[in-house]
Amino acid sequence: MTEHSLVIDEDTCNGCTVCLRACPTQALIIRNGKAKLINDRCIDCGECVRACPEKTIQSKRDQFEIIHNFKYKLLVYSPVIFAQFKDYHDYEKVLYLFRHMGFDDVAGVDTGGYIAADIIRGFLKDKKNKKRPYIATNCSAVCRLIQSKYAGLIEHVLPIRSIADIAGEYLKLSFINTHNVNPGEVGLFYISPCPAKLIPARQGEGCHNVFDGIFSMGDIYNKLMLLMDDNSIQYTRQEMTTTKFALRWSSFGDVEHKFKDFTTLRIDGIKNVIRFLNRMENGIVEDVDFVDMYSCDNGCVGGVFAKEDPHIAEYRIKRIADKFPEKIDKTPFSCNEDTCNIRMKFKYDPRIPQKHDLKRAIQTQAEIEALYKKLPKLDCAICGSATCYNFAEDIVLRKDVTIDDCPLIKNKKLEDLLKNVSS
Amino acid sequence: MMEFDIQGGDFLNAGESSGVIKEYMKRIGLPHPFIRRVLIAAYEAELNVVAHAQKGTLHFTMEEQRVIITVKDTGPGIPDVERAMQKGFSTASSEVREMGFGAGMGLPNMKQNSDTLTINTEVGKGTEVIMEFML
Ligand SMILES: Nc1ncnc2c1ncn2[C@@H]1O[C@H](COP(=O)(O)OP(=O)(O)O)[C@@H](O)[C@H]1O
Ligand SMILES: [Mg+2]
Repeated sequence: MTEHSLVIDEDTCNGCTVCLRACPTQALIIRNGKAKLINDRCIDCGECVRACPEKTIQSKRDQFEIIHNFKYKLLVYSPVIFAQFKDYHDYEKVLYLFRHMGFDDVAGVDTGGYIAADIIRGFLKDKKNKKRPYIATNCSAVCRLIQSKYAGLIEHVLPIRSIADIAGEYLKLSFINTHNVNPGEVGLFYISPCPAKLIPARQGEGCHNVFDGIFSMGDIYNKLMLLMDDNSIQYTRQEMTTTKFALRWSSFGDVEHKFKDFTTLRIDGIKNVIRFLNRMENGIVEDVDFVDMYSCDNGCVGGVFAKEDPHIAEYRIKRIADKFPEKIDKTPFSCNEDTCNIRMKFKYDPRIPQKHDLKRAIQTQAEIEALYKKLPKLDCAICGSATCYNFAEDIVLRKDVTIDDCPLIKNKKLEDLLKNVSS
Repeated sequence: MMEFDIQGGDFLNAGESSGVIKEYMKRIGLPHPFIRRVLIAAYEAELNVVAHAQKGTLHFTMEEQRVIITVKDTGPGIPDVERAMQKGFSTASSEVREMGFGAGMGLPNMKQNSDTLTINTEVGKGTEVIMEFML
């Protein structure tokens, strides 16, 4: 079973169908007036959370208090958090407040960015590998989409962890090394800008989850806002080790500047991602080395848990990034493939079972197509399925609706009946 | 089972039928490497009509053991099929080449990706390409 971060509150759902239209994978249906999630279709992108007018769809996340279960507490934050504040120049304040909240050490996702860049460059330089473009693993929603729907593209996905995970590996190992502490006493946490990253990516065997707890950036934002009003806090200066382009890459996906020597693309917005994946699957993308795709508009700055406009957030991050060098000579602790758990194998995790009866599948598909032809194709979603095509599928496969659940077809039948009766 | 019209010279819309065929094959759960073979061959056959003929159709038939792609056109026909089958042979115009088509690899790729390839052609009348893909 796939675990999802999204939960629907049946009490407040009024069955309005807005989420059905927002969902890029048709993972929602309305039955008996309530929205339901189809688990094996959902990729946790959170578009439904954004769309729901009743705020009925929420995401499960860890409670902040769990950090106290560990003697030492470490935090990986998305730099997107800096851009949520008007006084974004004071990002050092935010860094200090993380300490104030109880964290012993912190690192930004950008740290993973400068560690991963050299490894990724190694893949891109290898001319023998013709599987181009490579796909980055930074957006969990995109990873899940590929894993569930694009078998043919699995081989394109870089076999390394997301830069958030790598930042976590680095932070934990460097802390353990410098302070000589027992790993069991160290808790590693992450602040996520979106629901997709609230649950660990589906991983291949031998991969462990890096984080002991993941918090929503929205919850942390609220905490920070309160702390910022507290005049009694004595700030001490915090250093941040990063590079200009790692900071830009990890917040709005500026992959082009990070990998200037290759042909790279940043694609943002889940609809654009789907269009591009379809093109790739049709085999017509040949002249690109590396593609970094984000479900949210403008990358992680457009995350569901971000308050600020994604383009304002982008300029704020750019201003901060300008203070940092293009390169740093060495990472404070050498995190490489020997010392850190950076690799990860992606496996296909399909919706349709591999082993199946082809003859039956052909028949079923014919039934669906035949039914679909009879439907009005307005995709109004009033029947409770996202599109007329999904409705036809649901009649045949889920069998929890009948053709009379289409209001137009039903109306037509009633009109015909009325004509017959009155004539 | 499924039929698509192909318009000569319409490079813009070439490949739309492949998208529909692909969705169908994915829905019934065919293995990906098989889907890929069919798509490459179908796309090349369609492109040949677009590049070398005036008008044609693409048929997709799904049977329990195989897929059949039939591409028919009412174009100029192929005078020397053996020669046309050679890697790199092409009569494509320089304009077509500038668009990135016409490398002379279409027919060889179709042969490589299908299990059987049959070409019936008559100069001045047209060409019929039948490809069979065994599951
Ligand atoms: N449907 C067709 N009608 C007429 N000529 C064709 C057709 N298909 C292929 N040919 C001829 O065969 C040649 C080789 O085809 P192909 O291997 O696909 O290479 P290309 O299309 O790149 O030229 C073409 O240049 C053309 O002369
Ligand atoms: Mg050709």
